[in-house]
Amino acid sequence: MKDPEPDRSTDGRSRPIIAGLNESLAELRELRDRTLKSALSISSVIVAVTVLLSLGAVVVSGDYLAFVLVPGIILAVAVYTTMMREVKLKYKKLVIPAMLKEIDPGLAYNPDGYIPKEDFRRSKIFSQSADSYHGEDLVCGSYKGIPVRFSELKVQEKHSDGKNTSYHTFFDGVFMIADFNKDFKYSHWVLPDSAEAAFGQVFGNFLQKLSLPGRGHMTRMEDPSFEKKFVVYTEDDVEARYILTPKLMHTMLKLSERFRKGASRIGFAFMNSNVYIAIPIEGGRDLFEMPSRGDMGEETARKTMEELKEILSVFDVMELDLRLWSKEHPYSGRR
Amino acid sequence: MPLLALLIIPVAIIIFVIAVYNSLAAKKANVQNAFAGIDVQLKKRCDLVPNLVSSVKAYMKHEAGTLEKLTELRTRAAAATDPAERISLDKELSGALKNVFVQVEAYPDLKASANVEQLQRSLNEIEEQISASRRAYNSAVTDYNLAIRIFPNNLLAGMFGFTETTLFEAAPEERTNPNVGDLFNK
Repeated sequence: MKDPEPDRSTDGRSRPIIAGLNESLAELRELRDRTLKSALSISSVIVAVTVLLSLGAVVVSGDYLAFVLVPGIILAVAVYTTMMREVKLKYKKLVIPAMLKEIDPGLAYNPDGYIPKEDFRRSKIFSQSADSYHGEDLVCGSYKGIPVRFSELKVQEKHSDGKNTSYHTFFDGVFMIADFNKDFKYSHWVLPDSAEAAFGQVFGNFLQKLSLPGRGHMTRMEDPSFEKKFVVYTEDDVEARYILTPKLMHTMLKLSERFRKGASRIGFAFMNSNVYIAIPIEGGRDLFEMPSRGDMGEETARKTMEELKEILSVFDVMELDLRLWSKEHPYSGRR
Repeated sequence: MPLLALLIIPVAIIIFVIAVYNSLAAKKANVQNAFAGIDVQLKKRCDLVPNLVSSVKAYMKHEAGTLEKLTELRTRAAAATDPAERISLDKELSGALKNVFVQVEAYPDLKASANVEQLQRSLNEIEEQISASRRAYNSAVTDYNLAIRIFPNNLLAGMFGFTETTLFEAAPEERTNPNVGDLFNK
């Protein structure tokens, strides 16, 4: 069985497109360095002025003017971030559409777009409440003829003990939705087996069976290594096995090894004839970003290309374009 | 106090026995449902045969024997009432169907026909559904057999006539998870 390794080759095919960006990237690097300098200068002036104002207030009235100092620092940070954001956006708009065109012209990019909260919530991959929901870098369209969408998301749950309110991040990564290659009626979930990992098989199993309202019931697959990593909830046992073939389970296991972030693991939901995939990104790092300092040329573009290919390879290894069953290819003539 | 104990203990025992019986009966019903699920898919596959034969016979004159064997197997499988005979005939039918599609490869016109491609797609679909039904059946059987074996259920299972059920053995070629895509790509 072929292991789903990502296609990391930024081969000869992508070299011309990267080389074609060289000039624009050099210009962008100059712009970035200039903007960085100006942003730092303006921010420093704002900080200096507020510090002087505060000190002056201490000397004149003896009062410590924290209400000037704090907003001053916030303003300085805001000015810096806004100025740099413009350049980062230019980088994304220059590099990502060019890379996507090379990978599959059916894909489009929106740097400010993201998967709607409604889709994230509907997937029921997470039981927590999405109280704070942010995202960027939406890629959507058709990949190898299959309708797909994905974006980066950071989702947090609000915790409040009456006095203090804090936000706990429960998902920071890439959320993907794609047309699945088989038709199905019910909903199914393949989630990381955190209960069994934390509480052992017996008590963990008991906890898993409790499930969530509206997430069907737990079912056990025959593959012990799959069962060790995942827990399957389903609304229909036969259909769950129709979707989760031994081959797909093997692929999901490999994906779970590839994408992990601390205790967070990849999770899947199958519903409305689509597959929803929540991929935690190691270190919570931002994908497709311009380096904030240092060199910016072929190497940078190549890294962005690799990141895009790594994400898209999930659709490849799941063989979503393989349409052998009653569900036909959504776009005829593109198989 | 002893009177209360005398009352509570038999009631507790009766409730326990009822709970074990109901749990085993529910698991047995799951097994029966899962078997019925396989049967539905096997019937669907039988229904596909006449359609396939009529689509290909005009082209595959040299393989008339293969098609006749397929039709005969289909008639016998559809008429079989004994589950063991049904399963065995179905394995043969599955092999014969695959054989027909392998022979279709020798007729490019036939292979390219939309009808044959549609039939191939339907067959793949049914094979996938049969495999899923079998796995669901085996999962229900494993669950049921385990419930019979564990203490104290094992004491009551025999009394109520719950006996272990055998798993559905997949044919060796089904265990290897073949890539049916190869049939399209040849």
